[in-house]
Amino acid sequence: MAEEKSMDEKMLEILEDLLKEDDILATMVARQGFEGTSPSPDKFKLSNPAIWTLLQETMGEFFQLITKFSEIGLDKVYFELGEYEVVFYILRGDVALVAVVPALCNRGLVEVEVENARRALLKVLE
Amino acid sequence: MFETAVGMSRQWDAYSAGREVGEEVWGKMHNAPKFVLFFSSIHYKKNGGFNKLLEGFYSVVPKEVKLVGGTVAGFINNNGVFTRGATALAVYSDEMDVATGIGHNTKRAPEMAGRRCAETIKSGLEKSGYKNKYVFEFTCSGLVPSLPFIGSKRVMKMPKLLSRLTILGLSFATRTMQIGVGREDDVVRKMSEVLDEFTVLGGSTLDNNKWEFSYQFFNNKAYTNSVVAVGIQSDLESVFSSSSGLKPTGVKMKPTKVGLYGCAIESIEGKPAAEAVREKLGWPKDFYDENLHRRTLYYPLCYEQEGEVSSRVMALIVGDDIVFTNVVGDNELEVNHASGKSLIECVDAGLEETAEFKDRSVFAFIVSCCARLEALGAQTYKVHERVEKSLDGVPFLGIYASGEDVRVPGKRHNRLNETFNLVSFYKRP
Repeated sequence: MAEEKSMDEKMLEILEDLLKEDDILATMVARQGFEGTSPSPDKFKLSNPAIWTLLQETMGEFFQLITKFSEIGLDKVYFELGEYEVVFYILRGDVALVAVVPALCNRGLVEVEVENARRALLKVLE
Repeated sequence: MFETAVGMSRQWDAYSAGREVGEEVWGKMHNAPKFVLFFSSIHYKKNGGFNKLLEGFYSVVPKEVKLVGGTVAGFINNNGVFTRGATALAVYSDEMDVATGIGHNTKRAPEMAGRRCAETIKSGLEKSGYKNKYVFEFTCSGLVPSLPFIGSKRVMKMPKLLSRLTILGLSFATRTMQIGVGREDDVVRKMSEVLDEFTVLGGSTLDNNKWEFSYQFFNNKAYTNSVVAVGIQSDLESVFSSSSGLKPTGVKMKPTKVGLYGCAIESIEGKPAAEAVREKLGWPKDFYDENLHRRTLYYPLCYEQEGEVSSRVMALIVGDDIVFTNVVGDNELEVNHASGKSLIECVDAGLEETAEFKDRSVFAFIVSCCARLEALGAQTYKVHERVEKSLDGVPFLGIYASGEDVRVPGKRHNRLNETFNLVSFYKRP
């Protein structure tokens, strides 16, 4: 009998699938105070990997901000970083789906699949 | 007796995805479908190809089943909203006649393609005694050419003389290489003339809003620069609604010079078109950049003809000229405005009407604009929630196309952008 997959394995499967999208350059599930879940950085399509390192290093500070605003309904954060756009979808106060996409992509279309990943991740977290 | 089923797959491999859609549909039906509407995202182009996708489907479903469809920017069905995957709506009824048609070379000879497709359907249904007549058609969209030294940009900055040459070059490329504007207006107008007693609903196939590729599916083969359609005669009644959420702003303009089969405006009231629109809208000079499509979605230009409003979204800026995906001609244009809220809430009125018949509904089909999907993004789920609530379990499939076609008997064919069009079929009591 196959062993039941762990929560991390299930989340990783969802992230790996999302990363197959051309316009998803990097992705992870970030957790406040804990190490995040992410596909191997070798699979990321960022031409400037330093951005990802910086994002990971500053995630704790992001969560301080997110936690405060999520009480009044914050569920998504977008910001542009030069040629990239970083998307935060809050799964719950201390967990967020993070994705890096090209700044000039068709964001609406990409967003639909990020939302589908968010919904799938929420089921895993339940 | 009626049977309908919606199937879908999220698999990446083309054959596996097609097979999974086939298994889902086949598993829910007791009879071979009379017709199947089959759509997919462009992803399968590099994951096995569309012929493999269709081969996968027909590895489960009998070869005789008639199928039409194509690639779309996204789709909604009973499972959710998706911009990657494949889906199908299959319909069986012993009180229904069905015929399919195909026409080729839609950019080189659009009227001939439309006529051939329509005549095949008309002759296929000539013995049918059912009174209600419908056609679902899917035509190849425009394709953006990749220009030397410029690539496939949305804003091509160039001197006036070069922009004139580029527009002329685009006209030439459309007719000869079939790369350029889609000319769907001509295709579907001709279809509507031949099938004058039919209600027509359809749209243009495309890729992931890049307009580099566009495929049409006809049975087990994928084509490009073609039109495919299914004609249905049945005693099924239908309720149809079309909405946009666009609001007129009162800002009007009259094109004084047009080109590219009526799809490009070169001048407005004597001024270079791009500059005139920018001034009318009060946009700053640096507003025309590669993010243009994110802004123009909310400011479509509309015109009225024979009492019906047609909407158009700016697609490209070529020097001083504005290129649209469909014909604008020299009609007086009015800037309309949409917001995320109006794009979502506009679907309510049509859905209320549809909900009245939900107990007798057998299936619903939606054709909406890829610009709405791009504008709303994840918020498209708010539209999905409304549709699902209104249809209450009725199988439905909606596609996000590059322009929508609507024609009801007695009225002219209307080519639209940014609309949400829903037809729900129901049995008589």
